[in-house]
Amino acid sequence: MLEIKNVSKAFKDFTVLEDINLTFENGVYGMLSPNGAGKTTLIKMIVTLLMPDEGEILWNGENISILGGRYREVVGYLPQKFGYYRDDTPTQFLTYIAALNGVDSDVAKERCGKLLERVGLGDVKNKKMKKFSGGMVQRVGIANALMNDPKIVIFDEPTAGLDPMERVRFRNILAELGKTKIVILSTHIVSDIENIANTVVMIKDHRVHICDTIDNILRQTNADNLESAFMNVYEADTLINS
Amino acid sequence: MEIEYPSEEKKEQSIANIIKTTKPEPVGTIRFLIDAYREIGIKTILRNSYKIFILSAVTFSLLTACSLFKFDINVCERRSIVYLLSMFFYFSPFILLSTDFMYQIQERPFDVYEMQNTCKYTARHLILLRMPLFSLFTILIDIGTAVVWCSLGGTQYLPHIIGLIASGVMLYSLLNIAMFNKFGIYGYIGCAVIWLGGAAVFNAVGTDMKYAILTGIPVIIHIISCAMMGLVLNFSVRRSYKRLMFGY
Repeated sequence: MLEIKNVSKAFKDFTVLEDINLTFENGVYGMLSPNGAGKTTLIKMIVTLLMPDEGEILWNGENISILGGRYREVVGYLPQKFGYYRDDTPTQFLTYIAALNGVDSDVAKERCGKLLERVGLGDVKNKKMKKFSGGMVQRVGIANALMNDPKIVIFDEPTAGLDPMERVRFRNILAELGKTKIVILSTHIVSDIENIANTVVMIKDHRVHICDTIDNILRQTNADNLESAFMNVYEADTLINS
Repeated sequence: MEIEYPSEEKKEQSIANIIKTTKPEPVGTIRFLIDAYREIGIKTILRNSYKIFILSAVTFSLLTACSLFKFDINVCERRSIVYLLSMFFYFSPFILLSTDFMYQIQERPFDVYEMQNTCKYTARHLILLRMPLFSLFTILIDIGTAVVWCSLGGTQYLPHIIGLIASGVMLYSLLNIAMFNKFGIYGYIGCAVIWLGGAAVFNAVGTDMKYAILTGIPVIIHIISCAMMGLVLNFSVRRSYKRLMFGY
C-alpha cells in the first residue's frame, strides 16, 4: 500500500500542492486535472525525484526517503519526457536501466524481448533509437517502466505521440497491470482513463478535490460522462477567471 | 479470573522489538559497494570507459605540453624526466578520476539523469561505483609505467615510485570516494583542493619552487574548469541535482 500523508510542496513562494492525502492499493488510478494542477509534482515526489516540504509518503508503512533504493526497485516510471541515449538500441537501453534496478542480466534480456514485442517494437529492438519516431520512443519508455516488474507503475502523460491503435494497446496493458499492481496514470486526456480507471483523482486549488470511482464522480457532478464531469469541476473556475 | 493487561510502556517495547528484528538494517559503504557490483555487473558500470582513457590521455598530454613549453624544460635532463614521471604518478589518479567524474555529469541528458535517479542505483551511486575501479586502473597504469622506467635503468627511483603509487594513488582514491560519498560534489572538489595543496608542498619541498608552480598551474586550471562545468552548467540550474550534491 502506498500512502501519501499530509504532503505539501511549494517552489519559492508558489504553493503547488497542499495537504494531499491519498492511499493507493492494487488497481488503476487516474489523476485527471488540467495542466499546471500539480500532477507531475506529486508524481515526482512519489518516485523520489522531489522531497515533500511537509508530510510523508509511505510504502507499506515505511517512509520512502528512508527506504531509498529498496523502494525505487519496486517502482516503474514513465516520465512526461522520457530520457534515453540516442545511440543506444532499445535492447541496450532497457537492459542498462534494468541493471541499475538490480535485475539479473539474463532475466533482463528475456524480459526486454517480451516487453518490446508487447509494445509492438519487436522488429526494431536492435536499431538505434535516434532513428525512432516520438511514438516509438514513448513505447520504449512504456516497456522501460515495466522492466523491473514493479509493484507500483506510474505513467505521466503516457499517450502523447501514440496513434489510436497504440493507445488501445496501451490501455489493454494498463487494464492487465491493474489486477496485480498499483497503476497511477496522470493525464489531462479523459479518454485515456475513462474505461479502465478504478478510481479517479482530481486536484483543484492545490488540494485533492475528488478521489472516487467514476460512477460516484458522475453522480456528484451531475454529469453523463467523465469529460462533462471534468468540465463541471474546472470550468466554473475558467469562467470566473476569464 | 483477573486478566492482566500489558501497560502502555510494555506494548510500545514489544512493538519496538518487532520492528527491530524484522526491519532490514542499513548497510555500510563497503557492503553496499560489494552488493552493487554484484547486482549491476562490472560491464554495465564501466560502460563507455574507453572514452575516459582517451580523454585522460589528452588531458595529461596537454598538461605536460603546457609545462614543457611554457617553462622551457629540457626533456633530456634526468631531473626533468623524474619530474615528469612524478607528475604522472602523482596526478594520474586525479586526472583519470576527475575526467570520469566530469564525463559522467556531462554525458547524460537531463532527462536520462532523472530516469536514472528513479532506479535502485541512482546516477550518484554509479559515479561512486566507478571510482574504485578507475583507481585500480590507475594503479595498474602506474605499475606498468614503473616497470618500463625500471627497464630503462631507472631502478634507483623505484622506492620513490612505489611510495607514490601506494600513498598517492590509494590515498587519493580512498579520500575521493569517502568525501564524494559523504558530501557529494563539494566533497569531490574539497578532495581535489587537498590533493593540489599536497602536490604543491611535495614539489616545493622535494625540488624547488619552479617545479611546484609547474605542477600547480595546469592542475588549477583543470580543477577550476571541471568545477565550473559541473557547478555552473548543471547544479545551479537543476534542482534535482541536489541528490548528486548531498545524496538522499
